[in-house]
Amino acid sequence: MSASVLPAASRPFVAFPTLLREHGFAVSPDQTITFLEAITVLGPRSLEQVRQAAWATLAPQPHQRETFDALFDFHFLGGVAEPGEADDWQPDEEMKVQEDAGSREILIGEEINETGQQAIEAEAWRSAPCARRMPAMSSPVSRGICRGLAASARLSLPAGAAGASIDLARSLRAAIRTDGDVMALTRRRRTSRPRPILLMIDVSGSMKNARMPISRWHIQSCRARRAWRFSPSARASRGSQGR
Amino acid sequence: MTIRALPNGLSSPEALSEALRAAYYLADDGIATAAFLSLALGKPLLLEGAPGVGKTEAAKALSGILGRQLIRLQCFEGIDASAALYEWNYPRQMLAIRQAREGESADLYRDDFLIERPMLSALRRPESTVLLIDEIDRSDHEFEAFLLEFLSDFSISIPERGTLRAAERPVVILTSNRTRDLHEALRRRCIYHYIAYPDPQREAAIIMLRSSAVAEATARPWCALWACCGRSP
Repeated sequence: MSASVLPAASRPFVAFPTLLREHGFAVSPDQTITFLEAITVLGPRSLEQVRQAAWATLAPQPHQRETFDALFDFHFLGGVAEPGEADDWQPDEEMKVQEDAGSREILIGEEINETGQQAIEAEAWRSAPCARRMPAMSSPVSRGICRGLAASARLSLPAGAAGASIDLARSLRAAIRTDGDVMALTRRRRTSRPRPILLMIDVSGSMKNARMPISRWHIQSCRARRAWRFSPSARASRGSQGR
Repeated sequence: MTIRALPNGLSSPEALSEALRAAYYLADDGIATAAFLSLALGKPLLLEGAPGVGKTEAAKALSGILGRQLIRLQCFEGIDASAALYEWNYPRQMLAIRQAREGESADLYRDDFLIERPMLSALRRPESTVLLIDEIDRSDHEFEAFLLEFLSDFSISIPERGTLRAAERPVVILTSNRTRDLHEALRRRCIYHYIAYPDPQREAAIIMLRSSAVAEATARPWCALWACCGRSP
């Protein structure tokens, strides 16, 4: 009878196709097996041979090669997260739009479905020094990104203006639930939801020198709890959303 | 896992690269590794790249160092199984029917009535052939689907004679110019390598390997011109 537990030494090689799938690559389990067989046959003497085995067996398209290489570097040269670690996470629904008869209201504040742990982690990631968040980055491009991030963080948490004010819409909804009796006036609460950061990556030839740090930053940000990635196609006629 | 016994001296990608170089094909690490894995694992090798980057040459060099006959199937729009697998020799069958005596039945599906096409030839003699399926992107999706079946278990069904299965997995090399994307299922069955245009250093090395005389002939008058000017190039 064959063993059912994956040997620890094989785990990084099995986890790599999982990482590729998370980033939109179509890799079948059969290809994973071929990848493992290739590594066995090569008896790799360097990581470069593992990369070549990955190219040959996992078959990235030529236009995907740069992303593939960045993921390979991230997985085998950077920090490796166990597959399935964050698989159960789903994006929070930050804003719900409720449509009543003739009215359209946006529910914010306590209606936001944000678990405490996720919020703490996202906030900790944001408030950590940039160097700690992205240790692999030291180029002028990455320093520019860090400055931009810091400015963005300052802007997203403005000082309170005139203090808490009455939230009429929510007070009315509460009154409707209690047959029109106004039990208490609900006051607006300031939320500290981080401002979304839109990162547009130029992958044209002129950005060749900055490709690696930007790709690494992109991958790091995608692994954060609160990150969405939109990948428009070459002609920007459609986009796919991923975490 | 089945690892195929490789010919002597081809025990690593580096050794294969050296052998290819001896066959006047300058293989980089990527193609040497892919070809080595293809031979060792018994999987088809899919080479993609722009026209002229050396995909077909790689197949020829591989067949040369393996000492096998190269059987080439050139794909084109509208290619079908009869052009790739086999055909019955109808005129000979008609002749056999006429020659048969009254009351006798003629065996019309003997081997000598079968016209072998490249894929059947490779299947019958896997130990002595390399099958090159050239420019697969020119063929239709139907032929690509048919190829999927062939590449998965290397067997052919001939209704009149039954199923023919290869005694061992033949060496199969597919090439594509990327005029269209191949189906993922086909790519997954193959060891894949994309051959890019060579960089200047590599191109210089290719020229010196394949036609150093031309390079020297070009250089000679150029050097003479610079010498006339009293400078060195």
